[in-house]
Amino acid sequence: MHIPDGFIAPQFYLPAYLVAGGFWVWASRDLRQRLDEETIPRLAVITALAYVVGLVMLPLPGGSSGHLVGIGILAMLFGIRLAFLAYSLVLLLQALLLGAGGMTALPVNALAVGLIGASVMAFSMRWQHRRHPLPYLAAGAYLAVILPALAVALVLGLQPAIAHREDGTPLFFPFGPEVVVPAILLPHLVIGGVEALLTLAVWRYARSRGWLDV
Amino acid sequence: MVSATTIRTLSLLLLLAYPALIFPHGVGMDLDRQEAQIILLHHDDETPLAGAGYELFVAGADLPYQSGRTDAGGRVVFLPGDIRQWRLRVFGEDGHGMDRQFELTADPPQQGREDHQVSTISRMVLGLGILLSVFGTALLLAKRNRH
Repeated sequence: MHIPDGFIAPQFYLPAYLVAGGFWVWASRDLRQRLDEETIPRLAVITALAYVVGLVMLPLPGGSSGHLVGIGILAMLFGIRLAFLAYSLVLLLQALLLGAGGMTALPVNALAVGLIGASVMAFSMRWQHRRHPLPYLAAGAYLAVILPALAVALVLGLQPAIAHREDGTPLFFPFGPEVVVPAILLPHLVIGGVEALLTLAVWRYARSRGWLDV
Repeated sequence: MVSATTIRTLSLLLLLAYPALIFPHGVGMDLDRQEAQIILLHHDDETPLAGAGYELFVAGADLPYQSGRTDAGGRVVFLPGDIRQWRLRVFGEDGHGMDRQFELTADPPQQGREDHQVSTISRMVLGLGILLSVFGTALLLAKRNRH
């Protein structure tokens, strides 16, 4: 979901920046109270993991490729607000250093993946069964990939309707939802499964280290 | 009174006077050889970006100079003439692609695949360094644990 510049109309990304800015302020409040000497190194390592897995392309059936996200792990260990901030930083670095995603798409990606994805995972953590948490965690990690993918697909699919020439030619992303939703969702059905497995592996490690008891 | 022979003769003369009218639906083809500009598009793993939709604009223009799909080798081939400044938009149905301005020079820089990969890895490592620096700074400013 690395949407480049030039795909999203200013009529959409400027309000998206305002909304994302509000959530960045919300997520940054009381940051010093929530970060301590134990949390920061863990957050650094998991953020670095999300940064790297977002750049490693996995071959998918049908000849295409995709990448993991890591938002489920961030939200599982640190909650919605820290996960949102950390993932926004990941998106910023990927955009500035590697051209993976554009600055105009940053608020859309941050809101979709960083906020929706983290929220889905955090809710699954809250509702998990005490004795059998694995299905809840796996479903949360899976949906933390699928729902943001759907959100991004819908945003892209809206662009032809938002900005077009008088003759109807799209000025930005040219494909409607009937094309882009399956094109994005189908690969993410597989990516979500791999992401769920990775999240469960990290959950086992984190539980053995007592990170989840905090 | 005009005779039928006169009408037929005038009609024939009219057709001969406007020969283009005789073949109004014809499609012609001429072969030509010119020097073209080639843009090579590829995925991050250097495999060709084949069959991707693109729009090529003269910089600042609203309507595309050329549009279509990349060939099996991930190529966009066009005749730039004297125009130097261009803009290329490439769209994947899954939201991947690019929108980039570029300038044609007389001697384009030859960048090998190894250079490109080294550059990407260097920037990945740089990103990790920046991340760790940010969190290192946060660690310096963080509150101390009480236990």
